[in-house]
Amino acid sequence: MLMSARETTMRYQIGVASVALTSNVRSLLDQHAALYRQFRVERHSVPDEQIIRIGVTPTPFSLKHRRRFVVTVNDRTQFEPARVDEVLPYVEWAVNWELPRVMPGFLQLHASSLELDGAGIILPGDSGSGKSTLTAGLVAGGAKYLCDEFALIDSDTLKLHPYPRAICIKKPSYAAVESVGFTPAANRYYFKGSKGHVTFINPTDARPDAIGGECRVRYVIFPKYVAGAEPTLIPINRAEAAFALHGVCFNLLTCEVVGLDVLAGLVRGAKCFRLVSGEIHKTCDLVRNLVRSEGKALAKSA
Amino acid sequence: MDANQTSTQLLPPTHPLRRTDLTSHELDGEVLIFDPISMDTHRLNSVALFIWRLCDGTNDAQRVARRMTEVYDVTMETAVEHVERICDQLHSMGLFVATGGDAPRSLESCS
Repeated sequence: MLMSARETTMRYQIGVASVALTSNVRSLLDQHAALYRQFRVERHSVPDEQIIRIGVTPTPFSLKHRRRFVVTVNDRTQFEPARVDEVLPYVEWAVNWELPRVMPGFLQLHASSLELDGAGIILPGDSGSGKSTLTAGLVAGGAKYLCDEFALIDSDTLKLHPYPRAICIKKPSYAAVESVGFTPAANRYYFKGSKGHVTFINPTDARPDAIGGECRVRYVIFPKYVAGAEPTLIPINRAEAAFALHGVCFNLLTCEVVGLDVLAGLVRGAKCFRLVSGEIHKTCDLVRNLVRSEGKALAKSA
Repeated sequence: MDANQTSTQLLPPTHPLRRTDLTSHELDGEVLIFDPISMDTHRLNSVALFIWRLCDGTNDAQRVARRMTEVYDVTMETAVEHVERICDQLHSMGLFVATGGDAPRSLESCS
């Protein structure tokens, strides 16, 4: 672990998130910069209160106490990981925690989000449903990346917005993401609490234009990974989809507008499915074919 | 009586009336209802939605059941059973306006 006495602040505009990371842990700053190099900015163009300020400071050496890393969010201590390989996941987590506060006009769903041929796709699901792995596969195959953890919905326009954080992949999925062409960033691995070992990938490693912009949600697909299963899409009605989205919404009650209004508006403009996902290539083909066949049909009818 | 006062009676009102402060959205023949007091969200299927729409304070269980037999292929007996069960559930969810003046009694006993 490299440290210098001087703190350095790195500023990033990661989609809608304005992040400032301050630390004297050089290795952390370097690893973070490798994942977010394309989002570096000299200064932010938003008011200070909209900037998510993350600080990471190691506690002083002491014979009595084990060294820890204090992770602060806007000067409040949020986490104190003990291991250096836990710090980056906690930095990521700290940004996630703060997003709803700085963006009260956005509904925040626990879902991956992508754009394929102009159509917004959200993949809601709990941890372990395979959404990040599927997202990596779809991005490698041509989709544009918005986020692997959130679908950020503007409550006024109902548009999906990007927060293209590094894609977090858990150990059981390393082989799958490597098979679609990603190499974990410098082969670095981290420890993320109950999720175990994880790695991060920079989506622009797939291609420089891998990051998408705001778009309308056209597909709501609830993935569930089942090892060895034949990938299958099962249509569901919009009430079922909206009700399930309500269950994965982080700020339904604190959003500036009634969250249910946003969810209902969202699914009205979308087709909704449950997805049994299996082998990564087959599953990605299934989703791509769904979007592209409907896109072609629309173009033909127009 | 406050129109948005939630039902606190043990038994459902005889002429159930939907609360007006609820947010609801009909989607593909079902409805999602958000209760701003309990902060709960409920999902009603198409049959419950049919009954819900008739809970306007003018219909009792028998009348709702009769309307149900006109739309669905069910006997009056089955329809009454459905209406009572669903009204019980909607009542226990607190989605009806409290009918302060009514003596609380079960839907089964009113006609």
